[in-house]
Order: sequence, then C-alpha cells, then structure tokens
Amino acid sequence: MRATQLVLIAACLCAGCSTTVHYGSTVTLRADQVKQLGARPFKLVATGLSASAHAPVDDPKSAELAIAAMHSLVAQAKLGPNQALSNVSLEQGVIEEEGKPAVRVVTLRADVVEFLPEGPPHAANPEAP
Amino acid sequence: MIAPQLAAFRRLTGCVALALTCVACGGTSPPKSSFEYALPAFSTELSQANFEYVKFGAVGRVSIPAQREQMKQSFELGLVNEALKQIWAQAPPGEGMALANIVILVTEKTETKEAVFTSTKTTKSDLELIIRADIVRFKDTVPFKDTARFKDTVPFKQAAP
Repeated sequence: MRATQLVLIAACLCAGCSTTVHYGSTVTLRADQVKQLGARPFKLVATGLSASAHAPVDDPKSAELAIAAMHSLVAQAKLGPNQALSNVSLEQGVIEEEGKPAVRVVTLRADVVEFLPEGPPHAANPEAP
Repeated sequence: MIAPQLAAFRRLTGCVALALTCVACGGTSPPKSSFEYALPAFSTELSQANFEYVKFGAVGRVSIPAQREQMKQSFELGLVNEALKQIWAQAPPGEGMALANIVILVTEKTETKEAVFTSTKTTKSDLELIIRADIVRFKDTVPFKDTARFKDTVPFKQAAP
C-alpha cells in the first residue's frame, strides 16, 4: 500500500514537471571587407541574393543557423576570383506556436561585386569616354 | 539504565561525525573562474582585382567550458587561437591569405525547468565559440593589409555561471 502511494505521488509530481531546452546564439557578422567601392573599377555581378536557414528552437542546429545561411549564400553566389559579397545584411526571428517559441529563422542578403583590373579612371562605366 | 544513555551518546557522536564530514566535504567550495577574450578585427580590405578564393566555409569551433577548465588547471587560455588555428589548418600552404565572409557565433543553451511545487528555474550556459570564414589569397601582397591576426577590437566577456 505504501509503495503504491509513493508511485502515485511520484507520478503526480512528474506529471507537473517539464523541462524546456532552447538553443540560440549571439551572432556577429563580419562581411564588410568590401571598402572604397567607388575608388576602384568594379561591376555588379548579382544583386539581392538571399539565403535562409531554419530549425526548431530545441534543436542544437538552431544555434548555428547564421553559419548555415552564410554557407548557402556563398554557394549560391558562386564567388570567383576578385568577386566579393557586398551590402550583406542579417535578419533573424522566431516563429511562435501556441504562444511559445517553436522555430528559429535566419536570412542573409547580399550583392556580388567583381573588381576589375586597374585601367583608365571610370573604365567600368560604359558611358565614360 | 546505562543502555539508553549509551544509545543517546552513540547517536550524538554519530551526528557530530556526520556534521564534521559535511563541513569537510562542503566547506571547500570549488574554484570559480571567469575570463574575457577579444576577436581579431578581420578588417582585410577586398577592393582590388588581386585575390582569389582558396577555401569556402572553413569552420573552427571551441568549447568555452573546456577552456575555462583548462585555465583552472594550466593557467593558460587560447579560445580564439584554437578556433582560428582550426580555420588556418584548412587553408592550403602559401602566403597572402586572409579571411572573408566571417560569421562568429557564441552558442548558448537555455534550459527551463518547471515543477509543481517549485518556482520556474532557467539556466543559461554558453557552449561554444564558432567562427566560419572563407579563405582568400592575395596575388599581390604589397597592398595586402592583413590585420585579422593581430588586432583585437571586439571584446567579449565570459563569466562562470
């Protein structure tokens, strides 16, 4: 009888307990290496590239979404010699279900520029003489 | 007449022994630790037709609690160095290398425990420093300014929970 009572009490206690695990991260993006864009001849190869990654908040992958998104963005840009990502931005958010965080989302956007060999000033501009 | 007194004496000495054991075990609190670190500036300029990519998506990851334990034992740190070492190990041999398209993560795991008779308890723990980068090689290294390996500009603090 005593054992049954103990089992019942334990069952009640366990029914009232819950553990929630969320994975997240502090993100720092250093994709600002393109500088003095107007000082050197260049051309825009692509604009408005976008890459996203998402995962449930209780999945360890949701702590590394920014890396997954950058992998995807770079693969999509197919960066060649002298090409670089420019104007990169990062957005991140959480989708809630029944008032609780459920899915984490990260999206990166970028343009691709290609630097041209040094030539006459403004050689990249087709309207230049 | 003596038997109950002896039993009481034994009980008392037992309690004292237990108390002394508790003091001996719990009295010495484990050493606490905290540390801070700074990441390189990663301020290499990409502004000329003089570079090529040699590796995409190099990743270095280091456990922050493990570094904390290492500091306690050997009085030495190396969190950032270990992460960057892993990245540079993925680069082919050569000169004029730099990192581009860098993502830096400090991951954290938040565990919330809810119980019927106790209040909600949330514990946060930092797990890893992860750095992701592409490796570029400058063909002409004269204008190459790789400050990434030497300058520290982004400070982070790590304190023991």
